[in-house]
Amino acid sequence: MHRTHRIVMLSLGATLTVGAAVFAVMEGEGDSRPALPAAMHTSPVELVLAQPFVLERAATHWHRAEQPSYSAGYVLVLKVDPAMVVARQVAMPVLYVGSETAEPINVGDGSGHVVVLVPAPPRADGMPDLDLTAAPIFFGTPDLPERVTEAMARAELAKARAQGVVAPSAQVVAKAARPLVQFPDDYELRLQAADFIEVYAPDEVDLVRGLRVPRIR
Amino acid sequence: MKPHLALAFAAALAAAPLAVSATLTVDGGSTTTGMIGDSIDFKITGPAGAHVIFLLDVAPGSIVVSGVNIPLAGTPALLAFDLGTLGPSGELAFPATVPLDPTLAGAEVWLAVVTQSGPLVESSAAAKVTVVDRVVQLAGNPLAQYPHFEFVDAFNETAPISFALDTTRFPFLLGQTADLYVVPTRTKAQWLLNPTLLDVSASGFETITFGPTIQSNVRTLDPGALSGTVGTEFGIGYDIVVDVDRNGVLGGLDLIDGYGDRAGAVVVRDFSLPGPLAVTEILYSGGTFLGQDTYYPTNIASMGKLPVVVVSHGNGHNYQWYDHIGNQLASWGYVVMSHQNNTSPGIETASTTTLTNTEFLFANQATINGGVLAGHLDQTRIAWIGHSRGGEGVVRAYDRVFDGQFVPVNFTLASIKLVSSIAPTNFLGAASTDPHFVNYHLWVGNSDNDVNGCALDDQLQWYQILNRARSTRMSTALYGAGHADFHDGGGSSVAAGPCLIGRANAHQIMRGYLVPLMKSFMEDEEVAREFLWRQYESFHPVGAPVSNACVTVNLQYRPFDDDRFVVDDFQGNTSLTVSSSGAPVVLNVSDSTEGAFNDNTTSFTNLATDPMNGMTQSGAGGGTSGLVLSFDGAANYSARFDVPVAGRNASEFAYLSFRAAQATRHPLTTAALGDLTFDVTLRDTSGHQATIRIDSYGGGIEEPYQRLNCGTGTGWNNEFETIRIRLTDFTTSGSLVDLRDVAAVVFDFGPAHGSVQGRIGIDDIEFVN
Repeated sequence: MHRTHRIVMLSLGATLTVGAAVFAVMEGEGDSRPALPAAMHTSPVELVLAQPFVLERAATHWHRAEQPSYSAGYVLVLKVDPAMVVARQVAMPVLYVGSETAEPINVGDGSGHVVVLVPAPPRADGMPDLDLTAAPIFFGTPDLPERVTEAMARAELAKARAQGVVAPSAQVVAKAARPLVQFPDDYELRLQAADFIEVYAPDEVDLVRGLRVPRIR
Repeated sequence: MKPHLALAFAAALAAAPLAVSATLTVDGGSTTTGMIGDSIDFKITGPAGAHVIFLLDVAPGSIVVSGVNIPLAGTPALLAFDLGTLGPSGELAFPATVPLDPTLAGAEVWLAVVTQSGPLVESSAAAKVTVVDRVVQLAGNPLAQYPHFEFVDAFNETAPISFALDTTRFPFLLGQTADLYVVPTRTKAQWLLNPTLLDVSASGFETITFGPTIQSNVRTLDPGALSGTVGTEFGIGYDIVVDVDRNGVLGGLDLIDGYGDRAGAVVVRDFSLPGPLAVTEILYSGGTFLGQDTYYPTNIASMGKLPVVVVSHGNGHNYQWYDHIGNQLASWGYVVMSHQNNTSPGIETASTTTLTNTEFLFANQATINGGVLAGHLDQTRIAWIGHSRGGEGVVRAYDRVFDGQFVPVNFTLASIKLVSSIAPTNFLGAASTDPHFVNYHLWVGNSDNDVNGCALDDQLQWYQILNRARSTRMSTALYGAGHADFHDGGGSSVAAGPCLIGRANAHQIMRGYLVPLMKSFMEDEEVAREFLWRQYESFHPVGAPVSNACVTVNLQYRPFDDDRFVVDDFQGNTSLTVSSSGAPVVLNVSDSTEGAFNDNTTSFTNLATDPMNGMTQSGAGGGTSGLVLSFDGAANYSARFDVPVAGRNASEFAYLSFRAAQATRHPLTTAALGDLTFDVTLRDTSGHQATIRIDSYGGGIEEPYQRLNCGTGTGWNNEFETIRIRLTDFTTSGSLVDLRDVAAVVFDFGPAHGSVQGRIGIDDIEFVN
């Protein structure tokens, strides 16, 4: 099966160390990789689309150390600096929505658009209990998300706020908002995410195809 | 010698007085192992002029003849030989050849002598000879320098098969004319049933008259016309026979390479090409992170249970990007399943998806694609291959099963025959990412610009996991290959450095080595392992891209503990004068340090304060240790490692093995910047010795990949290569080295011994099988 792919190479880079996290050494020889911007928390993240969802069967949020279950949340489409999301094997900046980590479904370095899942508890009216107008969306300290605890996430939010990162405006949220959708489980939820990836990150065709393969029952 | 009946001997001793001891030694001791066709040295002592009777029985015991206690059982098989009288010295020494009778293999023969000198009768203590099956290596390749010939088992199609015989080891053949046959391999039982010789080489059987040197006894048996292609078999085996009596039948004093269950020479096809089976690929999902891309032989319905290979991709990669692995191995009779891997959260989560996807495949074989796999998945033979974060994830998965943190339902710990990591990260460290006792293989791209191997951080260093592995461990390192060259997702190679080889070349090399790797550990095909340790320069898959001057492949291979005796692995103490086996070490080098192979700075910059510069085998918390030393060109230097008494019988092993690397960015490395060579000498306790230069079999020790960054200067990590020298090669040309009593391994460096100057790391000096 022939594959197409999409890693877009940008500028030359330099060795970069942020806290304990260390990034790949960038080189002038060969096909150099984009350096990770020095500013993490203030790297611009723009909310494009917000799809609230509820799940009939709870799923696991793997991107937190506690690995909590969730049955509601948002699928967000975010416009980001591609350099922040270049797929790396070493620790990458963790994406936060408020004090919760977000699970990226695609890579996004080719399109500058990342589709993410953000868990939130369901409210009585069925909507996820997450006020996007009060939740800054930002890249935090590079780490493996499975090591990020609730306390660490709160600290990252505080750090972002201290650096002036603010939540999307009500106008932006309103423009991005979609109606609540209910899915049987997170497999179906990810099919919805695949639809968004197809639109906003059309270069990631292998990912979309991989998400849409038929499920064995 | 004349045989006599024991009773007749007993009568001859009648009325003799009580005995005291005479002595009998075999090969200098009380026991020895006699190879069929080989010579054994006997030595008898007793009173000068004494009459000597030589006794042979199949069991020890105690028989008393006329008051003389003889330490043999006195079975009906007892034989007696009259050897005449001892000379004035009271000694009689003679060699004897173990008869070339295959039925003797495994027999134990007990011997004693009785001497009679006037009224004085003496009996020796018993000596024992164990007869072993013939293991005569005859097939191989000529070498330009001592030991003049390498005896090997694996031969590529199109490569010639040569023959050599060292008449100093088989003196009875000197001057004899014999015929050399290449015969389709037979088992021992088949040979006994049908000893007829039928040559199948392109030119028919050869005739040779044996000269005094091994060089004079080299012949090309086949120019490379023999086929190695038969179904999905590893290759086609041939036995090599020296028909000494030229009667076209195996027998008498004939020699054979391959007598037994292993062929003398195995001709193999080009493993970089697809195998003979058509392949079907299917995509399906069992749910979230259970997407699977599975490859299997299209005619699987007519096949039995097939070994299963699971592929776990890296972060930002995709499970559909491993066609080169899936198609290749499925065409050779494997089922390959590449799965969605949850790498974004981290290694622990990735390991979970390796485990859950493996479980899912086995649990749902009746459902997947209409049940086509049902009954054809061998749950006892599984290999896990992982890439980058997935490369660490597969090791973590094994560790979790090993530690009981994950209890599989559809397979067991023992089912995992091999774990192979491609450019793995090293986030979790030794406590959580430990291969324990699984066979472990590592792919490295020295141009990797993601997990790049730099000293900057332990997370970037591929080799740390390898050095934790305690079972058979091996690595295949490709200069010029980038991180993404190991998948087929297209896009950038994620590579940095000179002379990049690109995805096509990397895949060509991968395909060529994947089949021998899997054959070795999933099908116990021992000959396949030659691909994993013989120097790439002289032996590699036929289709390896050798025309590309940038392609450089370095191999490390270390067998399981039970298959080696460690002379010095530098663990346990940091003394420069004592080895890990407790024996003396004598270093005469211009600079040396022993310690953890851990670059103690965050760069590859050469600094006097960082003697382990370029070493990435150990982490900040310790790990594998070794020796670094310099030879500055001003003189010749040496490093001698004495062998402790417990390890002196190296005849139990096949090879002397060690690994070595050039020190990156060091002036003594950069001054020459080429393959580095030196001499290795094996010395026995009698002072007999033989010396072999390490590049006799191929290349020497490769210079580090000439990559910039990670500090000041040019040169990447210190890239180790394993050098294995067949121990019997040290006995070539009548060196007299006694492999049963090896005293020391000596490395000689400098102008008289190869490279004029250099700085190297050296480790794992051991006798191995």
